[in-house]
Amino acid sequence: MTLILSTYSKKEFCRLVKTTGLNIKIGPFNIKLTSNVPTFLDNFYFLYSDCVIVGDDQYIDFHICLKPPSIFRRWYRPQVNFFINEFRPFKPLPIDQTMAFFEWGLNWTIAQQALQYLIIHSAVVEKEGKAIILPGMPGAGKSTLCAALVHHGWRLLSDEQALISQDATEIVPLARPINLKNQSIEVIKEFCPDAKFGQVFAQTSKGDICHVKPPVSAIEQIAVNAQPFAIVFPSYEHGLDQTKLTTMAKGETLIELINHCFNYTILGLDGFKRLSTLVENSQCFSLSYSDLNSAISTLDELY
Amino acid sequence: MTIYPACHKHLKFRPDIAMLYHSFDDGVVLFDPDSSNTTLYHTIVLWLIELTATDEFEYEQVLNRLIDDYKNDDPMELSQLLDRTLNSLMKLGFVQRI
Repeated sequence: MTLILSTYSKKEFCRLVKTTGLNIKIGPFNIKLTSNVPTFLDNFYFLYSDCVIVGDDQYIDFHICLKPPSIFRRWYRPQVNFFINEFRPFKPLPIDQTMAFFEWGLNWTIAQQALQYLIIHSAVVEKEGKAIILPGMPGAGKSTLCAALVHHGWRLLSDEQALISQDATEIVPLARPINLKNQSIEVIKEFCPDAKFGQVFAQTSKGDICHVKPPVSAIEQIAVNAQPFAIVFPSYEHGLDQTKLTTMAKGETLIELINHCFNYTILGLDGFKRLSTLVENSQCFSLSYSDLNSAISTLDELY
Repeated sequence: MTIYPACHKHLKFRPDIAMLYHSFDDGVVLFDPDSSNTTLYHTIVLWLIELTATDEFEYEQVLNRLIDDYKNDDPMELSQLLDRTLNSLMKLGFVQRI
């Protein structure tokens, strides 16, 4: 029987994470989480409540621990450290940003260590088994568009990282909370009244951050891969009259995609082959939008 | 047009070139496994690879063949394109002097 996180009461969840740690499946990865930061545990319990609990007999990909640096720092300007497999790659952050720190730290960990995948910095959504990759630099509007799509009939595969399989014919789901920043928080609150929002973390290094809980359906289908169908570079342009979907040449798309890959150079020739196959098998576009309804309709028409 | 010294007469693609390119409608993407640099080239590179990938070639022979194959294009522009392309390919090590 599959055990999901919300099977535990919050009290029991907190006890386990504080003491032995808890094994949780996030996308294709098994993570052992340990922490004693109460506000983080509240947020995590809310945002990841549909995730599957993994038994102790399973291989653990990442051991993640979030805890204050010292007893002193629990009280004076409290901070938190992020440990991955007992290694601390970052300087501590204010303790009230622990949830955001976990998300950033996990992104970094996956990008550094999951070398079985070619990883592209992009959102990925799916419909009818076909995935659209939405690569974009921070601020391009990919998370906003992704949040809007997944609350209008599309399945969330990932908000931050497209995991491309070894033969580049499949995208492996990594459904995690959608990371909204600044104005996009209010935009999505208005556009997607059904969305479930976590706490707002004000004045982080990336501005105000708020996580949207992944829809249950995305977690339930976490083991169902999708075929690459289209690569769309979104760009939010305030005040734009009309949504513009422009076909991009494939060679140009490949070169542009390299800028969005986390581990292209590490994978070397294998990365080049995967990216070439991915682009070969996908339609390629750029999308300029300011209206979410119109952007969604435009992407719907691709099917 | 670049004047090639005699040593440029004998040129050859690196032996693993077949593994290092992918051809699309808008150009040919070449991957340098030593640096991971990836470059988009004019489609002429595909023509060049298909013609000369396995054998040594000479610049003048290739130019003549190019002008012959692309009869509708301006020969001067074709020769300049070939010069630029070969210079770049040699600089990146895809084409080597023998």
